[in-house]
Amino acid sequence: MNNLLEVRDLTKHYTSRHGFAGKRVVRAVNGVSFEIAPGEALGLVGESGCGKSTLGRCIARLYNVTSGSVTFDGTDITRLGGRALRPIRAGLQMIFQDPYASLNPRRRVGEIIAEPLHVHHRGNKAAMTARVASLLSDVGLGPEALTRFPHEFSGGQRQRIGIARALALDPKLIIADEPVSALDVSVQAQIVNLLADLQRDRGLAYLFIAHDLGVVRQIADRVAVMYLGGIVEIGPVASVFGSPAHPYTRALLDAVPVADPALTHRDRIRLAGDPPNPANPPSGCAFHPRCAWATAECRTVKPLLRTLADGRETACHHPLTARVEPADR
Amino acid sequence: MSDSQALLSVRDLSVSFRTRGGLIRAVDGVSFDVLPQQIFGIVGESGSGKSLTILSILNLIGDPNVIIAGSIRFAGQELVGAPAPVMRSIRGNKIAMIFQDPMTALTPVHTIGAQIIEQIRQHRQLSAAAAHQRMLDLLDAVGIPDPRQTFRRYPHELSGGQRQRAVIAMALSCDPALLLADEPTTALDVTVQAQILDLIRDLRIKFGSSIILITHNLGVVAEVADQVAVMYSGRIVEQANTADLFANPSHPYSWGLLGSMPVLDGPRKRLAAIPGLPPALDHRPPGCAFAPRCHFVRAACETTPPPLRAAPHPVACIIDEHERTSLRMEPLEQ
Repeated sequence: MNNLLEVRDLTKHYTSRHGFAGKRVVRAVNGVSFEIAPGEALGLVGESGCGKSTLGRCIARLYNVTSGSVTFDGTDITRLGGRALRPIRAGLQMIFQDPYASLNPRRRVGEIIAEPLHVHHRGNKAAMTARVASLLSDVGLGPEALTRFPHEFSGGQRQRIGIARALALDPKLIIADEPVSALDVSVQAQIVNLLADLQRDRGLAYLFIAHDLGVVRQIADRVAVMYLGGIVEIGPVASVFGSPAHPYTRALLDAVPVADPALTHRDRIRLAGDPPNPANPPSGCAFHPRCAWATAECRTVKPLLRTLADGRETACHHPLTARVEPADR
Repeated sequence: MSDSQALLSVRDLSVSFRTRGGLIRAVDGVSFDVLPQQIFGIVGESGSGKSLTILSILNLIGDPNVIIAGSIRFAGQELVGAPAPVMRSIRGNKIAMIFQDPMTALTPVHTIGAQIIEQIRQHRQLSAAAAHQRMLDLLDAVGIPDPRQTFRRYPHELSGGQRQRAVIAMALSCDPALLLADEPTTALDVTVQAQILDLIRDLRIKFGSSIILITHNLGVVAEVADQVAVMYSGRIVEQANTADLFANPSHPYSWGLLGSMPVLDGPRKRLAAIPGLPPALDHRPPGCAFAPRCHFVRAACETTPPPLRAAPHPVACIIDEHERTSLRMEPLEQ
């Protein structure tokens, strides 16, 4: 067993009070299993409300887990709390979506990046100062940033500060929750390149959560597609994006606007309607009400993840790759 | 392209903010024409002036320290400096607007049906029954399922995509000749975005409206627009019909934008990101605003504004069409 991260049957339910009608259970994450090898980048994609951020926060143990297990670097961290989690957090860091909300506005950038070093008692003052300076240059910021406040920086620069803070303790795994979706296209490309370089140079593993499939393809080695709290397809990026097996993966890829007018009238699947409410999921396959290929079986029997010939896994009774070529449809 | 053909003709539009440090030009000398039933895309990043450009069409910038200059002619009528009653008769009636966040256009305390009827009766002398029927027809036309039930719902009971459809129905209620859409799909999930883009494409056929679509996403433009203007730091740097823009992008900024977009097919390549940031509007360089970030910058770019070239389509850059082909390959080979 040499996986860096192992997630088994992870489930996170929320209970919401619903007036006088009593409690209602929202199944945000429902029995999710996957693993990440050291130095591997796993992309996690899906639409809003599919549970991808909740999953990321459960793994970082920002949320308590309802059931299932999270094993990081050989340690079961599912039920660890407070002080016991602290050494784990040195190896498992997060980068957040909103670089405006995730940095303390009253602290100078140097203090923000040094804080993890203080908390974990890494080195004396001189060593810390040197470390902070080298982190800043690793993320492409100059030493003049040290004494400035977050509001003096642009969105892209603030995201660089958040990345430097996450790198301070030399983590093995970074959970990045939509790290570039708040940024403009040209700045987004800079940060995507930075994250790819850091992975290569430092052997970092990523759980890279994003709704933008193009960005995920740029970073991830493998990709997991989530729908309504469960993984519907997981495998190498080239095969999942190149020939999607699950109809939902196919529909997601088809929905991405392509910057090539010649391709706009290609044959595409259009999903009707909206994702269902996780408080009231459909029977059988959660995707069946929106699926063009749904059969009676899909309406009643919930499909489980199974491995296809090329090694990827999909939770579909009728995977697309096992049947007709896309051109024949 | 003559003015007489165009539904909307914008000439030398500038939007300036009066500040303690002097005037800041956020939109600087923008000119374009929108033809009847055309979808006109404006692409740019935050701060490029794209939203201010269309807000000034409706004179919706309610700040006394903003100065709008130049000319905006809509169906032969000058809108810059038009008196308030004239603007009121145009807003929501002949020119309607949809925003990124549908909740900015909906009040949470009335049903969507009531809000659409209010809009209809504001501009049209219709009986209550006729307005009600028109509202149902509109909800149906924008693809709201089961309008006879849905019109009774409050905005919070609808999904993001349905809310945007309701707002589009409201915008269409008076058959506007021109629809202004500011990032209408940015807040939506990608599968819902695809549905709304399909709807926008249908609208000009069903309603015969022209549409100005603002977006930061070149993919969205490629999918729906007929004509595209690329804005950078308050100016249009390139303008072309969509097929031509993507076949012959001619401004280094457009190259950078295209290179920054991750693609879903072909080999995985490092993104050709544009270094640096757009200039602050009060510190715009004297020459070409893109010069500090441009891979092909020359001495002249830093001092004199770039010439406006006509071929293959309007582009504001010192690089001429003969040099362009060879230059564009350079950054890709690095």
